[in-house]
Amino acid sequence: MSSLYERIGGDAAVEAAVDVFYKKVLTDDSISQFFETTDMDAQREKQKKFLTVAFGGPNDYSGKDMRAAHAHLTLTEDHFGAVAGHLQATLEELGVPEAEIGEAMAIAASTHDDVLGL
Amino acid sequence: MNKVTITYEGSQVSCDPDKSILENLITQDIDVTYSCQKGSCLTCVMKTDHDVDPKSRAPLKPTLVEQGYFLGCQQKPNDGMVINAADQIGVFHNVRVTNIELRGGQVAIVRLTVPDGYEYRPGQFVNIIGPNYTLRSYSIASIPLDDELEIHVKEHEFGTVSRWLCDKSLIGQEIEISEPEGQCFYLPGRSSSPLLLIGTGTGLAPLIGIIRDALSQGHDGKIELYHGAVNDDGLYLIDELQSLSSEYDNLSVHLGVLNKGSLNHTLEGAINDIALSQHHDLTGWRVFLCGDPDMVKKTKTKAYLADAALSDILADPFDIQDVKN
Ligand code: FES
Repeated sequence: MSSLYERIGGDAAVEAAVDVFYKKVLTDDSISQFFETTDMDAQREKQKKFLTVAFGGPNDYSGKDMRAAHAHLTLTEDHFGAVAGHLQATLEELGVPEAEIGEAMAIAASTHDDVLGL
Repeated sequence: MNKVTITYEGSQVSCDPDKSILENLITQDIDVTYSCQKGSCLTCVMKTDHDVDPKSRAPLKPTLVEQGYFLGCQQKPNDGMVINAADQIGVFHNVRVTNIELRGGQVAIVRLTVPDGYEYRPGQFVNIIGPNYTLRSYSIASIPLDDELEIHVKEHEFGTVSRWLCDKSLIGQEIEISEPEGQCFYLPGRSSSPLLLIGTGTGLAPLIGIIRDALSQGHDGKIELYHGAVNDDGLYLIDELQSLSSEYDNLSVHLGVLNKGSLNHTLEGAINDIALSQHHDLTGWRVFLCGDPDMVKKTKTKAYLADAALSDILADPFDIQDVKN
């Protein structure tokens, strides 16, 4: 069977999802502070990488990178939950089938400990 | 194996054609900046006039592509390619100060001669070497059709370079300026797409350059300029802006001050808030932001949320340039 990444539509799907997702994150006051930066392009690239990971696509991100990238932030369960919620909403908005959303959410959930540094 | 030869920063480098340019340079211990080697971090940008693989330009902004930039890690060497590192900070030119005109808000309009063969795009900036080798950046307000290079300098009480540039005794003297840098400029094409330009203080300098550049290239879409200052005094280019907007129907100029004074056609408040309250939907707009870094940062996010594409938001934050020293 082809990978989740391929079934969802590969890089084109990630491109479509990243704007929707990033806008949700930026307008959520409970987490927007983590995403505010002068270099929005770089930040958007990071969101794209995250989505690629969540879609099970080719990525350069190891668990160790995930850990290092989030180590300097004080993150809580609530923050993690908020981002996961936006991911789910983004996929729903783009009409991704339920089964694929489930798979993506499971992959996102697997980053939980690394992101929160547990 | 057949080797190919490229020129990197003036030196001939023999390369393995199957490896990327970056990899070739690294294996020969040539000093280059890089990180991911996968085309995503963009730290390995280099410059060439030769044709390159579209893949090595795909992640770059159109304004960078236009200047010949590409990613060294995504490009194989072709025989005879001439490549330079992206960073040209080392190159300086001698120019003469031809005029210094003092305006309101402690701003001086400084005019310089243009070095031979100097190619710049209005909106880019130059670094100027001031007293004691202090370096400061100033945006270019003129267009290449003008005879002189124009910059706008806000005089700061403790600014070594700004005070020096605002002192008329500098007229006639030679100073040193860098190659033009920065990606905040007008890109030809899409001539009927609307432009929104927001600037505070001397952040107006690059914007006026960009507007005149766009107009001289036949831009016929709407151009909305918002210039903000603390007081009326800081609206230092009011006459020029008004005559330009009466000459071009597609240009509207909006002036705003934080403290409303006696000028009756000015708006009151933060200019970025005023501009965005008048433009809720920026789909298809190109947005140019210059001035106070905090304003630029906030407005960039807001413009993105108002549906401007990130690649269409060009910004030049003035990180504290003259206030030090
Ligand atoms: S080294 Fe990261 S893009 Fe080339």
